[in-house]
Amino acid sequence: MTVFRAAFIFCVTIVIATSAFATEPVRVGSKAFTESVVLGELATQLGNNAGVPTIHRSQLGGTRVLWEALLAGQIDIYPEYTGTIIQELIPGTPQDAQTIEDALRRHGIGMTRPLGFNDTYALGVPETLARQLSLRSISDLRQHPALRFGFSNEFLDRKDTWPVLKTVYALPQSNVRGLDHDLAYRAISSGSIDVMDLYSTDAEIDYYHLCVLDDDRHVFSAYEAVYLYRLDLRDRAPAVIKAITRLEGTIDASHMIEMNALSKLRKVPEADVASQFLFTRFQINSTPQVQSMTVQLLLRTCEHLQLVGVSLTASIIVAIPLGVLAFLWPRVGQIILAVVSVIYTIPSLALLVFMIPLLGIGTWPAIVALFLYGLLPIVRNTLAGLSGIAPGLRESAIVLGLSPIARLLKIELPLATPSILAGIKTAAVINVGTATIGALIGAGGYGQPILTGIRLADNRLILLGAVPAAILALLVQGGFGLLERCVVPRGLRIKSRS
Amino acid sequence: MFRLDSVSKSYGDEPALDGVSLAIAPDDTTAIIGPSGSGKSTLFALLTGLMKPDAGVVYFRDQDISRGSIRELRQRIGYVIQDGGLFPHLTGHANVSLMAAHLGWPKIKIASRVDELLNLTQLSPEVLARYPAEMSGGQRQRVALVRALMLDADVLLLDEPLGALDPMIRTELQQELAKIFRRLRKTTVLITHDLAEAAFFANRIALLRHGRVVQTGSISELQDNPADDFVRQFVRAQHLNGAQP
Repeated sequence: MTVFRAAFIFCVTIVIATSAFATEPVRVGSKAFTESVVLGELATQLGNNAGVPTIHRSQLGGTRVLWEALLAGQIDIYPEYTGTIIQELIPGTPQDAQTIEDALRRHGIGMTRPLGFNDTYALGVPETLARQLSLRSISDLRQHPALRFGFSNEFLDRKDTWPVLKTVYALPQSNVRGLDHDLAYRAISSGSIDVMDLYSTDAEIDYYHLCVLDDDRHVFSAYEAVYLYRLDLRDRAPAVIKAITRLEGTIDASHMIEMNALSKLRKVPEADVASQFLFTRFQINSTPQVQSMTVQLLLRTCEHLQLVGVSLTASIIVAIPLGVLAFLWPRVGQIILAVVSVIYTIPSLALLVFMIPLLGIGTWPAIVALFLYGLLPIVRNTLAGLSGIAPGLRESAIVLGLSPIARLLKIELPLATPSILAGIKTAAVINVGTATIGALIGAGGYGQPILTGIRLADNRLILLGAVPAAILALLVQGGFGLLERCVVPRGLRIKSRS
Repeated sequence: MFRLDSVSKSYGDEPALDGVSLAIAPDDTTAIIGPSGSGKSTLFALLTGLMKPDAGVVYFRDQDISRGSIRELRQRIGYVIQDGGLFPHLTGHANVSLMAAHLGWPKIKIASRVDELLNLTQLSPEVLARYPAEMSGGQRQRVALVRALMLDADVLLLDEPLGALDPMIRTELQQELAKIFRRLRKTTVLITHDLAEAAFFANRIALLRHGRVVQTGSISELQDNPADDFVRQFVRAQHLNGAQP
């Protein structure tokens, strides 16, 4: 038990230590793709330059996460596109600026004027293939039903993209797969797909020699970049709003493509890309904070340990009593098992998004999600351990005259420890892996470099997150081997003589 | 000590005990014997309150055991099962002193009681320092007996206590147990399927078949005046197996 107590104190210390950093600066969010991160970085540096402490919670998943976080006050500003606002955030609004602004205001949200470029959707095919099949417009795709399409999931699901495109152009292709946008570039260059969706400012269009097909039936609407911000910022930090409005109309498509190219293809950190732009455009000298790799790794390790440690401790505290309840009252047990099993099957990203309205973004929703996932293996193994006790031993304990509580504490739970510990081990190893998802809602951890690495097609960065995560999983595995010696009674570890 | 009054118990449609009436005499050893499926184990579960009878009453010292505190009753019962029923996560000593410690006995009292019982059972203290898995089968049974005697129970219930041992050790331990029981003069109920063992320990034997008591008496009564053909066959079959009462 002392081991558990020590682990608990350790975790609490980490939580307090990390939350001590949290003051109340202006928080800029960005989506998990390079352009959004660069725009987020621009706003962050302008805010700091205006003398208001501003931090950047970069690459927080997709539109839903950012929008919910903005409404919940977890972030104050994030870059968005007018097309997305109309189609996804406030659907059913006419497309003029005044109505959009009014609709947003009802949510307590303000919007800057367009920054200067239109990052609309487009379809791209490799130039060689375009020449071969003489593809110029999207209509030309109709003649080639065997082409393989690979679209980002957002593109597949949005009301204004694939579903409309398919009907308007009467596209016959049936081989349509959903995949990550950055991975789609790799897929198309390796020849595993033929057509992908593009953002018109993507730097990779040139890099991978893709041909942009003409939207000859004008399906895609305009996606002008703007910033959305909480209206309460007008009172809290008017200087920041003033600072970001300086960007209105200053970034044209060629600027944005160049910045995307610098960041994605030449691996210049987004912070440097943004400060270069601010210097050439406004002569602003902003010094972005760039952490050394060691400091970053240390920070990520702390974050990851916090996520796993706190959630696992909570799972243990809740799941073992649940397992005991399930053992004592089988009917209640069936309900408990059903509930924790259903929780376990909820996809992690969905669970995280559900929790944003309740807990916001960052560490806590991730910890709660991991805690919920940790319940099933521990509850199940506690129940299995208790039910697996030989009937003779259970009867002996009863006939000795021990009270039910003494029986549970002195006989049944100790006999079940190997099984319970195995359950905790499973939960811990699963948690180490699943915690990488936390980066999508700003919880940090090893998922952060993995996410950035996928976005920048940078294997080195992916490994920077994946390798420590794998090592941590192995350490957890090994650590539990040691823990077994302390926690599992010696009498259960030795083999019988006869 | 124990008295069963027309006790019946069935599992679903399968009757395990069918109107059994039986009195267990105090300060003596009674053996309950019968082929497997005759209801021996059910009878034991009823004596310890692990099961409740469907009909009839089980009395302990003239008190209906379904009334009053079953835990108090159990603390007056010493219980040894086939392979001892020792808790594998506890040392012999912890197994033996578990209940005494639970009841808040002072350490000195526990130590002197353990010493006394080690003497009685001819067990060396070093065996008690071991975990059950580190003991031989015979040692396990002796430690289990010490545990059963720790609280100076009024009655000992032994369920095939020698069943898991190989024949050599079995004979040896049989002799020793008989000696111990003679010294203790405690009410003892022994369940066995072995007539020779029953005769060896017990003055009174109750023979069970199909959930009914077929005959109660000494071994010579069973041999000389079998109640029916089944008793005759049962006694003869056990003789053919080479057992000598």
